[in-house]
Amino acid sequence: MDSENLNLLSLQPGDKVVLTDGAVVEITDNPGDGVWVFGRYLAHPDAAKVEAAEEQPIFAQDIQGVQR
Amino acid sequence: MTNLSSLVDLKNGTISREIFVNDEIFKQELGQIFSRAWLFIGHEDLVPNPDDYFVSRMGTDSVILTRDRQNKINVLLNSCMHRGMKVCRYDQGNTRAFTCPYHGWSYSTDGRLVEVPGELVGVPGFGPYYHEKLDKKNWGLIYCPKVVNYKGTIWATWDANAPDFLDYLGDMKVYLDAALDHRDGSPGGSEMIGGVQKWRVKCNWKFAPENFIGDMYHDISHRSVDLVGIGPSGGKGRRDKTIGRTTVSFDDLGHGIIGTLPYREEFPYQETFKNHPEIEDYLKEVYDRRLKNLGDRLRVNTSVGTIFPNMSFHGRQPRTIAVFHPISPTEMEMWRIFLVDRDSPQALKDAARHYYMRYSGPGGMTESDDLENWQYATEASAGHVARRYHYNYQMGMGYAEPVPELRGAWNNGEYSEGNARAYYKRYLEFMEGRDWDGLMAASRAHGEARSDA
Ligand code: FES
Ligand SMILES: [Fe+2]
Repeated sequence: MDSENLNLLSLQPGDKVVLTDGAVVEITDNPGDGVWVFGRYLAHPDAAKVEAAEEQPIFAQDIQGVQR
Repeated sequence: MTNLSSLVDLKNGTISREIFVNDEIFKQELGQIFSRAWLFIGHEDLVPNPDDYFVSRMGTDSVILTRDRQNKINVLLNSCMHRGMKVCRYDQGNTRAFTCPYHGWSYSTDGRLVEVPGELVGVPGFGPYYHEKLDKKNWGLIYCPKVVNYKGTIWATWDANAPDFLDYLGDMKVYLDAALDHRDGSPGGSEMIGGVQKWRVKCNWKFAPENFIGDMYHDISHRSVDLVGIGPSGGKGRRDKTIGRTTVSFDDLGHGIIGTLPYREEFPYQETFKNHPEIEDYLKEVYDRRLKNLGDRLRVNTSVGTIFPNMSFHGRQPRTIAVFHPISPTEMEMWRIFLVDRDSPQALKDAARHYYMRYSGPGGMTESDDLENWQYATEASAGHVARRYHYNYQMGMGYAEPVPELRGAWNNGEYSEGNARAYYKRYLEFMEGRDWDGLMAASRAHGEARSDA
């Protein structure tokens, strides 16, 4: 995979991101600390995580890219 | 362990200089007093909105005062559980999670995500490197088990067995109320003006809370500022005796005040802002409201009070809260917060703020008198020969009278070291390691609070 820069500060609520484990997350809040964003799982290898509609902290390093 | 009862000799009214300069004793204070007593943390105005935080101190520990998304106020230890990093390095702000800058552990207070405040919610590499084997529930930030908001002031203790705050306060409550309530006598209603002033002083922290309630006969220190005349009425010269002023100590709790005995009929109106006629009109109107609101109910006036161990407050002019954080035996960090009635006119808020700054804080003319005394007394007491000797606390010993309206209160008279003796009596009880039953027995024996106070 290409190494591609992701501008973490540009992530907005509503954006969808794909994580390294294949999960898809809808961003709900971005505190802008460059470490965590908050979001809800739309898809996840473990289906239970998708059903839990709660926001989760997502480690920025686990984000592979923005889903277009 | 140093044997303290020989150092704090209450029978003879003398106290060894060691308790003001000795490292070993300082460590004992952190364990016996600051890890157990109710401590003043801040004011609710510092965290008005959800996710607001303010970094405070409890003893030598940094703590975070937060308001969570459910509007609950929490106090968290500001040290990451992974390698101890300070998770919050700002003084004040707003955040929905505290993320450690070292390896990124993230802690939350949001009640929808966590069961206890400061729970660990995010750990980088939790899946791939910890193999989900880290027990996050066990590695949250340490939080104070007991926190209260008393009329806007926030207090906390590390000790889950500590008595309730009101129990700890006893009838000292009426004197604290006199500072926190509206000038018209209605409960609460004060707000902070300006921010928190913070500065360090090379003195033992106990000089301040003791001095605040033994302020009378050291008026001599303030002679220079009295000659200049910095008050909003502009009077210059000497401080004259205030009508009805005395000192009252709560000997079983360690608190004390300079102020009045309880009374039922308001003292005549006194002008305090003679240089500002429009403020004077407003204050006269507030005074009339006070007469109506309080009727013949029992009330007090507080000039200055100390709540054991390290919080003092001024109830009148300037209305402030001071807190004295221990840094080392010979250094403290002092904070000042300034209060005014929330609904008072802007002109009064402005005039009060200017007066408060002329009076208190690192640039305040009255404060700097006190700071110099404490600093040089500490320095001179730390000498090798000097520290062999005891300080003298004998003024007025044996002349206190009980105050019948208040539980466990003693009227020491206007000029007395009775307040200081009560403070160090409590100090000794904590330092001896008494448990809470032992610490509260004498105070509880006085029974329930009266309903009209
Ligand atoms: S010290 Fe905080 S994450 Fe390591
Ligand atoms: Fe003073």
